[in-house]
Amino acid sequence: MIVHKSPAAPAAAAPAVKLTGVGKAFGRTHAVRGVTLDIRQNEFFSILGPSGCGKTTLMRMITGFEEPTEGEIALGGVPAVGVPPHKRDLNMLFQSYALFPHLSVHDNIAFELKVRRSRPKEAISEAVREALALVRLEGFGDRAVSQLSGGQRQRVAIARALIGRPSLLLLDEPLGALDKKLRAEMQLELKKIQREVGVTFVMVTHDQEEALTMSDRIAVMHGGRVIQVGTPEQIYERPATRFVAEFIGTSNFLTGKADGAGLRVEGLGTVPLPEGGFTGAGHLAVRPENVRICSGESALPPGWAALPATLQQVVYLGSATRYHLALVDGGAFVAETHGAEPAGLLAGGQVWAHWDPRASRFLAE
Amino acid sequence: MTVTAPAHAPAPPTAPARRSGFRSAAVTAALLAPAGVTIVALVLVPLALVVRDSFATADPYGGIQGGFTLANYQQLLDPVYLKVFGYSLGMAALNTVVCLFLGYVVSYYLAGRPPQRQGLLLLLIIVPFWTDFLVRTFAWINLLSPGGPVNTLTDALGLTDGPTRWIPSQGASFVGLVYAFLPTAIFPVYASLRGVDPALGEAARDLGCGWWRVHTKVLLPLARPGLLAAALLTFVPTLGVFVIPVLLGGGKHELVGNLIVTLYTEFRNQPMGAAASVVLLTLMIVSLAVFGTAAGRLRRKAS
Ligand SMILES: Nc1ncnc2c1ncn2[C@@H]1O[C@H](COP(=O)(O)OP(=O)(O)OP(=O)(O)O)[C@@H](O)[C@H]1O
Ligand SMILES: [Mg+2]
Repeated sequence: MIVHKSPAAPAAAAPAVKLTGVGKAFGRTHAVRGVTLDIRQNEFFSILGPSGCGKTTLMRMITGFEEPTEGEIALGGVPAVGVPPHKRDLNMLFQSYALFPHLSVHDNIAFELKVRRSRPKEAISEAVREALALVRLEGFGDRAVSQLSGGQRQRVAIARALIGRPSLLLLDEPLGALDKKLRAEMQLELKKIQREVGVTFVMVTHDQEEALTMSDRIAVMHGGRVIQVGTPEQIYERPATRFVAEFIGTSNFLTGKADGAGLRVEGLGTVPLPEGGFTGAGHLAVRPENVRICSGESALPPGWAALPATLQQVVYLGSATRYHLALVDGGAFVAETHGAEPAGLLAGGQVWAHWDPRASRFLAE
Repeated sequence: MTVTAPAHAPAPPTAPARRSGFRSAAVTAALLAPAGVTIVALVLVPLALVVRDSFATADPYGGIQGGFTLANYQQLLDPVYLKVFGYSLGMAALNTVVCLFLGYVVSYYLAGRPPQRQGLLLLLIIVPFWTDFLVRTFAWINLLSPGGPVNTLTDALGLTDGPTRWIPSQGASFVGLVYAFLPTAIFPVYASLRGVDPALGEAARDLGCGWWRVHTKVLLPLARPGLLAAALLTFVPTLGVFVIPVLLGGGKHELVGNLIVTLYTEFRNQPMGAAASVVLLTLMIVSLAVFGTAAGRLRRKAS
């Protein structure tokens, strides 16, 4: 696992969540293994990974609905293993929203304050009004939950989860049930709410775009393990493994043996690496948007990596154009350009795919 | 969507039905006729006879003499009979409370099992329910007999010492009642609890509810329609039970059902038996109305 240091690390005392070697086995299935992770105060942190990689299980261990079978969990510096969910200073936003159907919107939002009796009765209505304003649902207090749209239900769920100002809000695929347009809207809104209330948000998602746009930092999970933790930029620009490079955005991969000078790829020759010093088997990852194509060898910039290829298909995407190429060894390669299309390129023609080696990344096997 | 429907849109689907309204009404009547005739012949007519009998005078041999008198009802005001009605209502209420409690506990357990397991467990509850009422009551006679399985168990636990006589007793009678009505109480409660998203219980815990308040604040309110139905299905029929108190209670502490049988057979007083039946029927209708109103209020509150 590779942990990158965020440049904007807040100087908070104890991390909001500290996981040390946390694992969870259901019988013989290891849903989560050896996760060590710090989530900082007031951070928007995402747990990103494909379906079944253990995201929900990890989150449920933080909430206390599941007890880890190994490792330690500390919340705000206090050991949390063995503490029941209702005694943890955190709330969860359920994917199904889990609003109480027998209570009005007002009573749903007031639920925690009433149960915890943390505030005098008169203050509750005022707090509910504020919470409704936070999620822009003024005047909806008397409605029944069944009278709300999906997006409105989610806002009520957010208001309900935040009214007691927990130190931590956990969100399990919060936007999964919304349509695309509403999703984009709620992404911005969640981010805005998080900044307004200053609560640490931990969001589970399998949507890499969502994680990249919303998070301060991301943990990428795969097969129950955390593979990489970093800012969206670090994760995107400097993926730690081939899995991360594949999962976040798209990448072209060249597999071969590095020998200091370059990567020897069977059938393609030697391709320059971003920097010297790499040895051993590995993959070179190149993002399509970093690949240029041209028809003549004379147009190649000096020092760039270049591979001859056959142009197979040109796909116009509106804001970009995508070129599907076949390398001489038969491997597929993709280039994507924004702006003007290089002239004179026809499907079936011979081209050169080339890129600045510094824009590629070597991933040891 | 309907606003922008073009002029040549197909006619609303109700139109053809309306055109042949008369014919469909005739068909409906024809189809309902067998059930209607059955209900009139087997329910309403006997009921009318019983009501008429309850106002008749008895001949010296207990037969119906005809005429009109309120004497039968006046006689039922005798403390001996009032006690039976009071005792029945009390037993029915107690049985309802115990069945609701156990029904809720069992349903909560059931609803929390994995789906495949739920089917099997439910079957285990249904099988005795399919067995005849009388057979199930006799089973308890065996179970509770001196030296029987329950006795052996209590001996082993040190609660009793040697063969113990439990039948007949009020306690045995009550056990029989609870056993008879428990499945009836479980089904509606289970049906309403099964429909509750498990995330709601977790949300409640997340928002500060301990074990007890998860139930009182969320699950019990959500199970309320089922609990109400279960109460109705337990309370009303318990009033009319007569086999259990005879077999397990020794017929000493009678329910209204036993009183009616006694009046008709041992006392050979048909008009009084009829009057007691009418009172029982009235009690049932009143409880139905009470439960019905409560259910209606619950539904209105929910919507
Ligand atoms: N209660 C459970 N009992 C047994 N196995 C479980 C249980 N919960 C989860 N698992 C298993 O643990 C693994 C991780 O599950 P988890 O729900 O954490 O994945 P996830 O990353 O949230 O996936 P998704 O994106 O589909 O929600 C899966 O293989 C799942 O089958
Ligand atoms: Mg999940």
